Amino acid sequence: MSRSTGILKGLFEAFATTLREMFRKPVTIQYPEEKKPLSARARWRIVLTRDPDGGERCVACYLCSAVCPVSCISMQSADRGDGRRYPEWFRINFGRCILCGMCEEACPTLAIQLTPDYEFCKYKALDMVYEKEDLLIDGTGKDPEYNFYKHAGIGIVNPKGKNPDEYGPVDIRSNMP
Amino acid sequence: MPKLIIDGLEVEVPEGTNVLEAAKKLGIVIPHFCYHSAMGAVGACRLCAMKFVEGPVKGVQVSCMIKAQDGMVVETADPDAMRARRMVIEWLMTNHPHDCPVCDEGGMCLLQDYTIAGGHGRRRYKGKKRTYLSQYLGEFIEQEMNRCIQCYRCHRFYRDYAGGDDFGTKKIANRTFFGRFKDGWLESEFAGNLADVCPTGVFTDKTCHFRARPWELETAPSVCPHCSLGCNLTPGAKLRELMLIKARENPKVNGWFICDRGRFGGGFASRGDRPRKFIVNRQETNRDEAVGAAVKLISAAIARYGPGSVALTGSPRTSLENNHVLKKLADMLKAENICFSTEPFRDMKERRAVSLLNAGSRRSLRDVEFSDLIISAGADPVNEAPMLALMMRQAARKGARVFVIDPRPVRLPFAFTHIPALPDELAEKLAGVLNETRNDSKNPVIICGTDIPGIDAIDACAAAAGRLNCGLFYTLSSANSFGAAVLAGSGPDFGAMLSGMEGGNIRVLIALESDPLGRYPDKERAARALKKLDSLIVMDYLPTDTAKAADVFFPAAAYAEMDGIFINNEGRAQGFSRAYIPGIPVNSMGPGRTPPELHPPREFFSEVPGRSFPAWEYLGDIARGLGMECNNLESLETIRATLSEDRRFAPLAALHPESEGALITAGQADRPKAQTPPSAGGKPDTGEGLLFYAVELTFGTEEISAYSGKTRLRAPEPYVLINSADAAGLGLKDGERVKVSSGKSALSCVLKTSASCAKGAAFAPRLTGFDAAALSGKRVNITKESV
Ligand code: SF4
Ligand code: SF4
Ligand code: SF4
Ligand code: SF4
Ligand code: FES
Repeated sequence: MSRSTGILKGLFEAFATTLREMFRKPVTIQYPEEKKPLSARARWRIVLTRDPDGGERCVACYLCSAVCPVSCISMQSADRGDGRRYPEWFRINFGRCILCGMCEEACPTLAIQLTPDYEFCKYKALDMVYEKEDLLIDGTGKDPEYNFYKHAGIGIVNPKGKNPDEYGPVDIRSNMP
Repeated sequence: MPKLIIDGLEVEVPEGTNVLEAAKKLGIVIPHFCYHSAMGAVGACRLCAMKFVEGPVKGVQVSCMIKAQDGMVVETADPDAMRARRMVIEWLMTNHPHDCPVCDEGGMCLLQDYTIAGGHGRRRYKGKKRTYLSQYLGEFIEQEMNRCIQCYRCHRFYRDYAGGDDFGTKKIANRTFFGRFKDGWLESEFAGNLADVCPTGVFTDKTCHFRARPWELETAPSVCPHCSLGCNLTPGAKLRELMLIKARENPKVNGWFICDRGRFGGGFASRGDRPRKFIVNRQETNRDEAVGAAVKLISAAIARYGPGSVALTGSPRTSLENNHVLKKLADMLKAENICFSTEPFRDMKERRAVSLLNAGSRRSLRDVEFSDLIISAGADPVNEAPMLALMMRQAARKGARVFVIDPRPVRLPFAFTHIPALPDELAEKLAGVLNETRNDSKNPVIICGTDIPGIDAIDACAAAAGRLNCGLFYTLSSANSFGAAVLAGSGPDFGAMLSGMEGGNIRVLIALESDPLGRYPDKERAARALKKLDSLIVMDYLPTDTAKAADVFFPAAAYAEMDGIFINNEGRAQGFSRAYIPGIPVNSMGPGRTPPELHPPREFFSEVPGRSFPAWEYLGDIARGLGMECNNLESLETIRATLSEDRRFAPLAALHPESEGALITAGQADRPKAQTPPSAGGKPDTGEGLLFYAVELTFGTEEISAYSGKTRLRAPEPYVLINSADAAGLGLKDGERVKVSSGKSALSCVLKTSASCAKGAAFAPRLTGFDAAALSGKRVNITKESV
C-alpha cells in the first residue's frame, strides 16, 4: 500500500467511525440525575457490620490496620467488661484510603466490609476521617450468618465448651478418664 | 568437645550441649516450643525433630533430647524431619481454639509463627476440641487455658526456676492443666515471666489485656529503673502510653528474666497526674520562659549571696548523664553544695560500699548463680533486689550453701540457713559463718545490703571478702545509685544542705528528679528548711511533693523516654535507649472520652502535646542562659565524651545498648570517711524500746514503682513486724492494730509477728502515706491502739 492510500484509508475510517457513533445511543450517564447500579462487590465506602445477634462484629484484632497499605485505619482495642474484645474507638481516614479492600480480606470476623456507596466526597479533609459511630451499621452486610464468637474458644456467646465444635470443659479435680 | 556436622557445616560445642543448641550456634534455628536455654530440655513438644544421618543415633529424632557427640551428621531440612515437624504442628492445632483475633499473644506467638512457617493452613481434623475453664490468677497474669500446647515451660519456670509452690501441673495426658489449686493471685514475685516463657497465649500480661498488638508498640533496648540490679528489659509504648514491658536477655546480669516490680512498675509514666507542664510561680508557661525564670533566680541569688547560695540535688534514679550535667552546672557556678541523694544515711553507706568494690572482688548478678557458698548479711533479696533471690536459688539448685544473716524473717524461694542478728551483730556473725564454711568452698560470695546494715557491717563484708578471697555483692537502693555515689564521692550529703538552708546560706535549690520533701526521713525538717528558700527549681516526671512545691518546674523524661546510662550495683554501666517520645497519651486526650463518642480529639497537632524532654537539656539551657561556655553539653554524644574524660568513666567509651555493659570502678580516692556525719543519722540511739527500721518491699516501697498503680495492687497494708516473743512480752497479738511511737512521732498500723525475726527489733515498710522512714534507726514503743 502506497503512502497516500494509507492516509486516505485512515481518513475514511476515522470519519466512518464518527458517523457511526453519531447514530448510536449515548453511553454517558447523566450523573447525578442518573445512577448506574453497581455490583454488590464494588469497593467503596467502608462499614463495620454487626453479627446476626446484633453484636458488634469487630474484635479490634488490628489485622485490617496492619494490612492497610496506606495505614489509614487506627483503633484502640479493649475489654467490654464481660471478656468481649471490641474497639473502644475505630477510625478510618478516607482521605487516605485507596479502597483496595485489603482490610476486608484480612478481617477474620467479617466485620469490615466495603460497600458500593461511592458518594462521600467532602469539602474538608477532616470530614473524611470517620469514627466508629460513622462506620458501624445496624446490619450484617455480606455473610449474614457468621458470628465469630460462636467459633472462638473464649466463651462469649456460648459458655466455654458449649460451642458446636467443643467438648465440655475438662474437670481438673478428677483423674477419671 | 564433640565435633559434629549439621547441614554440611562442622561445629564444635562444649560437652553436654544438645544438638538443637549446636545448630543454633551455626545460626540454624529449628522451631521448638519446650526447650528454653534457662530451663533445659524435656522433649515435651516433639517439634525440634531433625534427621540423624550418621553417628551413634539414627533416624528422625527430637534434637533437644540428644547430646552432641563426635561423628554425628545431622540434616535439619531433610524431608522426613520436615514432615515430622509439620505433623506435630497439625496435631497441636487439632485442639487449638479459633482465637488469634482475640488473643493477646497474636503477633508474638510462637505457635502462630510455626504454624504458618510449617504451611498448615487448612484444618483436616473434623472432631471436637478439648476445652478448659481458666482461672483467676490475680491482676498481673491472664490465663486462657484452651490455648495450651503442653510444653511445660510454665511449670518448669514457676516451680523449678523460680521456686514457687502455688502453681503447677494437674491431670494427665490430653487433659493436662497448668494452674493453681484454686483461683487467686500467683504468689511468686516472678510470676510475670509466665507471659514471656509461655510460647502461646495461655499466659499473657493482664495489665495490658486486649490493649495492644506487638507491632504497634514502640520499643527500645532498656534497663530497669526499679532497683539497683539493672535487669535488662524492653519497654513497649503505644500512643505515648507505656504498656507492655518484657524481659531482655543479658547473660551477665538478669539472664532471661525480670521480676514483677520491673515488669509491672511502668504505670508511673502514663499517670493522669504526671506533671507535664512547665510551671513558673504556679502559672503554666513554656520551656523558654521557664529556663528564663530559672536563670534569673539563680543569677540573682549568686549576685546577692555568692555561689554558695545555690544547692543542687541529683538523684540515684536518674541517668548518669543527667547527674553529670548537673555536676557540670555546679562546677560552672562554683557551687559546692551538690549531692545526689536526699536520704543521707543511705547515701553515705552506698558511697562507702561503692568505693569498696574492686575489680577482683565484685561479682555480677549472674555470677551469683555460679557460686557454691553464698553468705548474705543485712540484705533481704526478694524485697530489696528481687532478681538476686532468683539467682541465689539457681546457685542453691546447683548445690550451693546459702546463709542469710539478717534480723528480718527473710523469705527466699529455696531452703537456706537463716541467722537472725541485729544490724550491729552482722559483722561478728559473718565472721563466724565464714570461719566454718570458707575452707570448703571454691567460689564464695558475700552479699551485703546497704539499707539496714551500718557502715561497720559494710566495711566488714569488704574486709572479709578481701582477706578470704570471696566475691562481694552489695545491693543498693536505686538503678543508678552507683553512678550517683561515684559522682558524689566525698562531697557533702543532703543533711549538710538542709543545715545550709536552715541557716539562710542556701537560697536556691535545684532538685533534679529528687524529692527531698517526700524522701528525706525527717519530713518536717525538710519542709521547714525548704520553706526558707527563695526559690525551688525542680525537674521531674513524678508528681512528688517537691514537684508540687516548685517555683519553677520542668517536666522531665523518664527512662523509656530518653537515652541514658544507669550504673548497677556491680558497677556495670548499661545504656538504655528511647522507646517513645513522651507526651500526653493519646487515649487520655481530648473531649468525648465517654461513649458513644469515645475517640481521640479530632484535631491534629504539629507538636507532641505535653512533651517532656530529658533533664540534661534543661540544665544545658540554664547553663547557656547564665552565659556559661558549655558547647560540650549540647548533645548526648558530647556529654558522654566529657564524661569519659574522667578516668573512672573511661570504659563508657566502649558502651552501646544491647552490649553486656561496661564496668566502672569508683576508686578509693572518693571514699567518704568511715564515720557517718551527724547529719546522716549515725548510729541508732540506745535506750528503752525496740530498734525500729524502715525497710523495702518488693511492691510499694521503691520510689518510682510506688507511683505505678499496677504494682501498688500488690503492696500490703502498712504493718510493723516484730518477734513473737517480744510481742507476747508486750501483751500484743498478731493482727492487732498498734501504735508505734518514738518521741512525738507515731505510726498506726497492723502488728505482724514472726518467730524468726530477731529479738529487740521492729520493721515496717516505707509505703506511700505511711511514714516509716521518720522513725528509722530510733527506739520505739509499741502499744495497742485504743479504739
Ligand atoms: S480486621 Fe476486622 S475484626 Fe479485626 S480490627 Fe479490623 S474490622 Fe475489626
Ligand atoms: S496462642 Fe497463638 S495461635 Fe493460639 S490463639 Fe493465641 S495467637 Fe493464635
Ligand atoms: S500454659 Fe503455656 S507454658 Fe504452660 S504448658 Fe501450656 S503452652 Fe506451655
Ligand atoms: S530485680 Fe530490680 S532491676 Fe531487676 S527487674 Fe526487678 S526491680 Fe528491676
Ligand atoms: S524443643 Fe525439643 S521436644 Fe520440644
